[in-house]
Amino acid sequence: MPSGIFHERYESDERIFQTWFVRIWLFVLLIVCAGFPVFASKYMISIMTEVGIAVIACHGLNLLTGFTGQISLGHAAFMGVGAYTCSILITKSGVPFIVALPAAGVVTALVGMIFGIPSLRLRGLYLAMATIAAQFIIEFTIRRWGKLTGGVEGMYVDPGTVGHFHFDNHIHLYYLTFIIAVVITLMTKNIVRARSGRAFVAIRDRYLAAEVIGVNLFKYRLMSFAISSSFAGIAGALLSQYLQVITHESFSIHQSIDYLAMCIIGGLGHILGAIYGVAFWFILERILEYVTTSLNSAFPAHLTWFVSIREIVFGVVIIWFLIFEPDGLAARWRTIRAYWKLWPFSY
Amino acid sequence: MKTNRKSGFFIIAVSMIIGFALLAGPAGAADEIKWGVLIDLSGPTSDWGKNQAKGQLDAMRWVNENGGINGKPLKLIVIDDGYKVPDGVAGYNRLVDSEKVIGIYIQSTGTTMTLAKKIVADGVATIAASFTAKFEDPTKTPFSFFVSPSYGTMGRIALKWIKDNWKDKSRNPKICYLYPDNTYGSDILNVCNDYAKKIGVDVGPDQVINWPTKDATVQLTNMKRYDPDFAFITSTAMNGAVILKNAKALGLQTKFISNIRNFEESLIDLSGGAAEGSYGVHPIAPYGAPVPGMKKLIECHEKWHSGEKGTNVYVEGWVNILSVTEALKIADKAKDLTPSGIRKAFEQFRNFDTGGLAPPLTFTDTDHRASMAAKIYQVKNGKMVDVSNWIELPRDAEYFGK
Repeated sequence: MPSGIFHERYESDERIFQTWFVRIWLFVLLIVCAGFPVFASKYMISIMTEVGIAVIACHGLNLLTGFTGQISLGHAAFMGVGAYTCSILITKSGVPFIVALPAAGVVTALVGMIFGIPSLRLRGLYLAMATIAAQFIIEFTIRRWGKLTGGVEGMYVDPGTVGHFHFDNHIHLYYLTFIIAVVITLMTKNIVRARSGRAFVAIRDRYLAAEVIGVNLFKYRLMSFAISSSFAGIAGALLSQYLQVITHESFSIHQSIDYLAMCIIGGLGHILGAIYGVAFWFILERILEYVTTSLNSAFPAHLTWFVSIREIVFGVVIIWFLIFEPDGLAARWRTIRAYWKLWPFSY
Repeated sequence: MKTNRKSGFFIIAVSMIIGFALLAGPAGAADEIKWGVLIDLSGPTSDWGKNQAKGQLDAMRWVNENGGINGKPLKLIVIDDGYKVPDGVAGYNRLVDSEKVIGIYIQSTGTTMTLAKKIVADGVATIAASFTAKFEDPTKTPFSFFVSPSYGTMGRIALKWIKDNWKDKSRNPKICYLYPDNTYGSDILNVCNDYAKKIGVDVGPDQVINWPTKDATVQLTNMKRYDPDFAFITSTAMNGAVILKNAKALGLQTKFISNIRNFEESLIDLSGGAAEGSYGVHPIAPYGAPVPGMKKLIECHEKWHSGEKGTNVYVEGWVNILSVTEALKIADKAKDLTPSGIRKAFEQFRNFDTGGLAPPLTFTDTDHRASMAAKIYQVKNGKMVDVSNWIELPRDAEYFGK
């Protein structure tokens, strides 16, 4: 019996899921997710749908910020572009959902590329400022282009249908989100393994060196923006189906910052980081909501004491992660796994 | 090992908080009636939300100490949404799907609009803090109620008051609208512009003053070119105070009329005297007003919050819960404690009196306009004093649901 994993061919070294153990557990996870609506309450399903949407959005942001090193604070606005594109196509033009969803991705990718152009010259904080500008410009456009977007009052979204699936049914929408989230996760993993992914990482780590060895900076930065935004667009389109009414308030800068925080907690530059980050965020949010609501009910006279718990805990958690886990939960998971792999005979 | 110990502490701390909450948590009676409250306690409108929640919870306590809902205790479950739509939607899902409340109070206009379709589909009785006329038409929003005239109606009441008290026969009075560029801010514009034209009030260029308001000098200087006699502020006290301060610094002669969400006690405190002499249109009695229903409020407030300041938002919280209580009592008596039962109960309100805290409330199955009356108040010596009687508009169909 071999005492470790020994690769004899390149294909086996490049495999995403290396051992049977991992594959079985992954299979179990997928089965549990697929069977989730059978035993879960309506509330749990709606939360899982939100989780799925956030995972898709965070993969996009992770690709841009984590792998390519381009900070973006306008991710929610790009989701807004996708949400409005999909909704306008379905509701006003009667385009079938199966066309409108990819169209949302394409249009958002184009918009993302426009706002990605400054990335050739701007880096770090300056790029963050440029993407904040994207956030405000897009939000302003949504508010003011009343004829198309319904202005500040927002717009109602007709539920999309594909065959027998009607996405005003929360279980159908859950499955749609779940499938897309799995597909996008695999896509992200493969992009990162391929030539473009290596170029992204090279740009992130040392852009000058990357240019010297022949990476076309402009092309790959723009490509990163395009892929990231198209994921955001698809997430936005799903969110519009979930909410059924969209207003510009659903895509504010707070959301952008929340997504960035999720990526940081999960681990920038790790594929699993997006998933861990989103899961951690939502679990913490539910726990805190439960705690504050219970405390509020128990001590109604001191309502104002507990309301800040949520904000404070979130702030503390982010600082805690930045200091003690700068690589996020994904790295921590790796450490834990490495420890148990050799247990009890570790050195 | 060092990190392990740290995470150990973290885990212990988290589990202690959860454990504490579980102990303190839902140990309520089996027959209690649950009502959800989705409110902003930590976001941009939190000073308002805290007073509203305080009023609602005090009213709940008073109701429960005075017989409850035909003997059953009323329980409010308060969730903070930080005035963010996604959090509001999540909170709504939790209240409706998990806590199984039979009705809900929603503060944010954005959240209410986002949920409007869902509320109809789920059939949840709602009391809104968003007084938009769009929730008054039962053919569109059968489960939505609110206890005040709509923003549009109050805007028209202000216009009527301006016109009725206008002495200069040589020209029409002039007014400008100041509002933030969001769902709430633009709600009254169509109705008020139309009504102003009809009764002969000239409307100047709109001035958009966004939240959070740090400075409104540019917009006020723009407005000064038109030199209106009146300016109508749609905002919240925190932001509106900045407008009044800027206006005082610029030495404007324009008289300011605040809408209901701007005209509250904290406007007077925050504006540091600049609110003196400004007007407000409001249907709810200010805290301490000489009306019969105020006695129990003052008693409760002094007993449970001695040293704190009572506000008209606190009074509004009471009005909300007193009306909910009345509807629940009717529904319970009819043995129909369901959202549709509550809807029917509300629709039996005929001049329901809250002891003068609000104008008498009437709902019918074709018309969810609670009332059509409000008063004009003025800030005099740091106090809100009424300068008009009840101004009531006819219940006509013209602006219904707009």
